[in-house]
Amino acid sequence: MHINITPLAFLLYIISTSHASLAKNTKVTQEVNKHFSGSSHTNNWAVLVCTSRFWFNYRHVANALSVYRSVKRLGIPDSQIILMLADDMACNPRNPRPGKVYNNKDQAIDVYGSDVEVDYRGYEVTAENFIRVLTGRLPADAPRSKRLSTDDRSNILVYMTGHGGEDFLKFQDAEEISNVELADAFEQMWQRRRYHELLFIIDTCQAVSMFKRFYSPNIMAIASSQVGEDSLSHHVDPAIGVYIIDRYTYHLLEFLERVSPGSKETMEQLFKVCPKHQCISTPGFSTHLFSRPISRTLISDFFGSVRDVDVTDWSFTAKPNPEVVDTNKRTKASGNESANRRYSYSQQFVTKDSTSDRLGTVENTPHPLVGIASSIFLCLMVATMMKTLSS
Amino acid sequence: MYEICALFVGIGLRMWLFRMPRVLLWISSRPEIETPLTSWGRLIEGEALMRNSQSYQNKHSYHGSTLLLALISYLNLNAPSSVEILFIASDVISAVALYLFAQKFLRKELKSQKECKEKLFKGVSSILIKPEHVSKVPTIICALYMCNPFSLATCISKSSVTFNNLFLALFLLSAVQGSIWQMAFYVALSTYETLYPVQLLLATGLCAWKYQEKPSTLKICYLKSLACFTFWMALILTLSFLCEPTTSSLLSHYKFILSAPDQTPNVGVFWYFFTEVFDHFHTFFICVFQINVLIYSIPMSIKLKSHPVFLVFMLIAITGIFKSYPSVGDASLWLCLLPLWSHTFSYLRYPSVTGAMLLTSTILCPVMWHMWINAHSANANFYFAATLAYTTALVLITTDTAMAYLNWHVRIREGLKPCVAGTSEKAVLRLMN
Repeated sequence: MHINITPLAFLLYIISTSHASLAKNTKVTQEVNKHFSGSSHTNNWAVLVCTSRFWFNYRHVANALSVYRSVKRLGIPDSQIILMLADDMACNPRNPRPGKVYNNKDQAIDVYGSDVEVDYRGYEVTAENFIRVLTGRLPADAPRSKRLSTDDRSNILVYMTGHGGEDFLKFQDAEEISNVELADAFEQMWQRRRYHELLFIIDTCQAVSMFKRFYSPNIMAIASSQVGEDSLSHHVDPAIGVYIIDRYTYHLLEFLERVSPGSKETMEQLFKVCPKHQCISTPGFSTHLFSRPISRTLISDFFGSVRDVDVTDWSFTAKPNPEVVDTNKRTKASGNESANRRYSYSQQFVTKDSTSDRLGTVENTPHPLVGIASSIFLCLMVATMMKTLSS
Repeated sequence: MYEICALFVGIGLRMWLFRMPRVLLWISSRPEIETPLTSWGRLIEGEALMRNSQSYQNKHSYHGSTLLLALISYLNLNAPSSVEILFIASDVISAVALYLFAQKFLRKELKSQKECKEKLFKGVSSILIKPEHVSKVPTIICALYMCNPFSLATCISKSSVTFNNLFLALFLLSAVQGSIWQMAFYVALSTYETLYPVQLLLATGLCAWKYQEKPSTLKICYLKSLACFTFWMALILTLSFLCEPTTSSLLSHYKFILSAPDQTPNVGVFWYFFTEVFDHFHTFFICVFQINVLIYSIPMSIKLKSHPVFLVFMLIAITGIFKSYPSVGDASLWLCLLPLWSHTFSYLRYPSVTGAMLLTSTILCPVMWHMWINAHSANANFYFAATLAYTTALVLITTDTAMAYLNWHVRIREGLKPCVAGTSEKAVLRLMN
């Protein structure tokens, strides 16, 4: 029998080589997996919203400020945090410790401090402004601190706290935002490529209802209570007489205290924060829209601002005057001239009223006829005055 | 002789005050003295903008006339100290013009009084114009103008009201000389600067008719004055257009005066009202307020047909009170002219009240301003109340003077005390106990 040995040999060769490299395979797999399930974001943003005002909602402000402090500690700069608060706690006349907001009755941490940057305060915290911030449809004169200038490589953490109900969240005195509007806002963000991945955390009553309408990809959501349940507050500070923090956020902060900027805690561990016996309400999660597995999604993908920095050990020198590439292919002499000609700063901007180079030019000096006419007129005036005074 | 002393005292005061930078700074920040239309700071800003070849008719900067800006910027570039000399000279020339005007006017009044002696009632010689009036009053007027705090403040703050007063003083002088060309020239200059003196054209014709050497009819006088005014105005506007060849620069100045967009507090009546009027009614009330300034000219020209100088006085007074951006400098001119009618002072009904009111409100205005702006213990209502008291005082002085003047003219023909018609009995009022 003539067995065609070549394909068989080929097959054997393949098997043997793959078998031989199996020892190295796990490392390669890991390397490969790292590129496929590691996050490919380049910048981190946070939108922290406290939708309540008035003294008895102290705990909501403390919630939002505590998450603000954690997120700042883990590395997201103020320029990339949009903090929306009613901001009426620190300087409230009922605050016995003016300028300070605490999240624990032992007053260990002042979450307000002197370096807090509230971007939307007072009555600027409206549902409209929140949606405008998310979708980027702000008026042209909105300052940068009020803009969510994200791109398609931004990971955004959206944290909301306040009073909620089934399918809605109450904003300040008389407004509400529904879960449909929120879902549509996130879809607008996705269509305009305003986020890479989004983590939505909500700590209100019946919080799960707020994320159950999401339909945009790459969103992960955590809510502090199911539909029909209330999220409860943690403890009262007898010194001020109001509840000072909510249960879910309290345990979230306890968890985040163990997280440092480079740590490798994953979302799986975050989901285990505040189980029912601690929170009394049952936290809910939504990961069906998220593309990566949660066991490989790091906390620092959303809560920190981790940069993958490659330290190189080679250097290069930048050339002082880059060569001007002349497409007209002039002669070498004139090409060098145009390349070496130095422009003063203002000459580069030829505008209609660039003044510094035009002082003393012909357009500035008035027509000589004007001078003659004015002096004739002045003489006439003086002569008339003399005549009037003398006659 | 005394007038020369007064002139030198005035010049000395001004030169001394010009050397005190803190006084200059304080006075230049007073809203009663400087207005958005006339302030020196805005002129300098306009000059800086003009030098950078941008349009200087910016909302927040200079709103005055182009020629003034051109003149001052030229002087500032070449001889900065001559600007102060210009302002002092302008005040001096105004004072001299007022002196000469008062002298000529009172001489002419005395002469006409002597000519009409038979028409006068007997026994009124106590209230007639006397020769010592002719010698004393001009000196008093000159001294008043040079040394009164309002004109001092206006000169020190280098506001363009100084020039306006100069033109009006020269207008008065040329009015009693009866020369239409000169009168029209000064009215044109003054109208170019602030729009309101255009109503003096009515008085121009009347002054010319009364004081001209060769008599002509009123109609011819009016036509001639209108023609001269048009000619001078066209000349000035052409020159202004040559300096700044855009039509917007020509008209934006008048647009600012007429529409009064800037509601910076001043001693006028416009700002407080227009900060709170609804936009719907804004145009309507602008028209009402502007008509208020201009409408008194026609009835008064009819009533005071044979007293044109008093008509000019009244028009200057009313314009100075009700214009869109008045200042104390506008009031200083006609307040200094009050001694011209000192022979009528016995018929003033409430001189002490109005005098005290003027003094009190002048002192109260800076106090209320300080309380409002610096101490935050008052608000705009306080300041407006003080300026309203000031305006009311000026209005009362004006009306009282007018009433006294007219009363005087009636009394010299009908006797000092009212008589029951037909008899020579006197009515005696008895108080019931």
